[in-house]
Amino acid sequence: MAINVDTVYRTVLLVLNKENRGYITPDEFNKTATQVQLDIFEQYFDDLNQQLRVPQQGNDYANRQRAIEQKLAPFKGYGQCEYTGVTTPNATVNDKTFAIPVVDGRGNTVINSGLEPVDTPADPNATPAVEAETQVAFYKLGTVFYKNPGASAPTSEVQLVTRDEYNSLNKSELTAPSVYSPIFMYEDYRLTIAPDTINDNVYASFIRKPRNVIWNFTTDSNNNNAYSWSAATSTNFELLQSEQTEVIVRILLYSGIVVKDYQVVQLAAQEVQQNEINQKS
Amino acid sequence: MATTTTLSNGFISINDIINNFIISYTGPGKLIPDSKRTEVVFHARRCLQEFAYETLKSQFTKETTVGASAGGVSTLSIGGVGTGYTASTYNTTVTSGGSGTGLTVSLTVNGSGSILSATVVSAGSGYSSGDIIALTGGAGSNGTLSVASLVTPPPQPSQRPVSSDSLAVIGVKRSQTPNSVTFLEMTETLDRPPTTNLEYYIDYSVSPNVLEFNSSLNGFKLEYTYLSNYLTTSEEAAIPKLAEEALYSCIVYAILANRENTNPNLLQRLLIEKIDKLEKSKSRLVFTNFSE
Repeated sequence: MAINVDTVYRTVLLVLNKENRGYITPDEFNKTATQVQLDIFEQYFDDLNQQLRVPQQGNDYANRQRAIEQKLAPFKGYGQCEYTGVTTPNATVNDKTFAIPVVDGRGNTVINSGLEPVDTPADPNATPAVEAETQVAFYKLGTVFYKNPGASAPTSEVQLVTRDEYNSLNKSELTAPSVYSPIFMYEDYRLTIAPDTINDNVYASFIRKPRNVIWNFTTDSNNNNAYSWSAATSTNFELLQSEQTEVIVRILLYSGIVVKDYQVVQLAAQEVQQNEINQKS
Repeated sequence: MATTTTLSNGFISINDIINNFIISYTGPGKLIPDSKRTEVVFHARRCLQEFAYETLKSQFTKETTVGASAGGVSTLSIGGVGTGYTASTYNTTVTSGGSGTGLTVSLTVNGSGSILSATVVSAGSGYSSGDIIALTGGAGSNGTLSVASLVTPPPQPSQRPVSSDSLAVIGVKRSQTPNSVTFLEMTETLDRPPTTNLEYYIDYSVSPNVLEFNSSLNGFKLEYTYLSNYLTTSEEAAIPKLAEEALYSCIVYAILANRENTNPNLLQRLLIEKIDKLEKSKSRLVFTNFSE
């Protein structure tokens, strides 16, 4: 479950306003919250790499690899790669490529334009009823699979190689890729797969980018135009709830800079450092 | 399991050996923490060649077209991709046009029902290279195929020579859809050609590598499985399970021997294990008769 943005904002304000240290506006909060979410999110990949080199406990909740995988789970997607290559006999290897998935397994549109995802709400009153449309932003490519359509052939993982490896591997019979052990180059968001008899049934897993955090509000004319939280138009943190304290402490760190209170910055930085030591020792 | 349908209990494909090895022998905390699949594939194929030529028989499956008439279609190229075809790999579509008759094809289509590839199920007869054939059966516009090459007619009607490396044919099947596979039996009578389309015949007095069929199967593609007399790089090749453990040992040794920081004592132990398992599997295979 996601972290409620209102809970975080109110906690941050509570800590900051203690002893009248300062105030952070909703716009400042939204920007720092988004920054913090991406900070923590990006850290997962380095943490996972680190933990993969450490023998893990079998216990469910003590296994750090598994814990990080769980934190990444909400952002994992899977979709089919569309073959857009040319099938003429004269096509070069660069013409025979696959695009990254444009639709994920849940029907969301995958965008890779640098724009932020937009959600179009469902309209049950329209005739015919309009279903909700959701976009997700592509972040990192995961594993690529080839589902061999032959009845007896299994799904094969397609291995990522560099361009020089791609050429070298194709030169020897002992290393040549096959439908059971295909390889691919990943350049300019396109997949070039060998053997080039593969022109369909390629799927890829990927990580999507977390949505920007938004604490949205309406003004209450009966209460001196005070900000009133609008749950319907806000966007919660997408990180797991187990990250709530980490999120608040890191926002406080940025907030301390915004309100120019370096005591807050120092305390928050110490807290962040202590948490990291505990998590990785 | 790839192409090991007939003797699946006693055989395993190289592809499965590679997959098993990657799962069980590589990964964090294991002897080989960082191996790539391409590396394992190379060593698996190379280790296979380490086995003696006469002790390890490989099993393969190939396609052949029975007793093709003159003008039977072998390969096709796509002219128009069309739209609205069923998204199925085994969608057999009746065709029309060209100078011949009887051609049926299996299509692979994309999400919008346009043709990606077409393979011949039944070759038909009377076609010429370059014939344009319309594909009926699409819900949208019809796609077109062009005849790229023709089947070479067999030496005699209803006969097909099998691969030149075949030691023995161990199974023949007719497969048009995944749910409709018919295994043909080898007839033990002297009826030549076989009297039904469920049988095949091998005249060992002439050649063990020529299959003969009932003429009603003419033009149809069949799959035959055989034991090869040489080793290969194909991942579909089936390896006797008696050699499976020896292959794992060979691959482990080959990969670690190629690492610069491998402990020499460990390497020595792995070498002894590899030699021991190779010898054991060879002696087992020599005394095993797979035809029984």
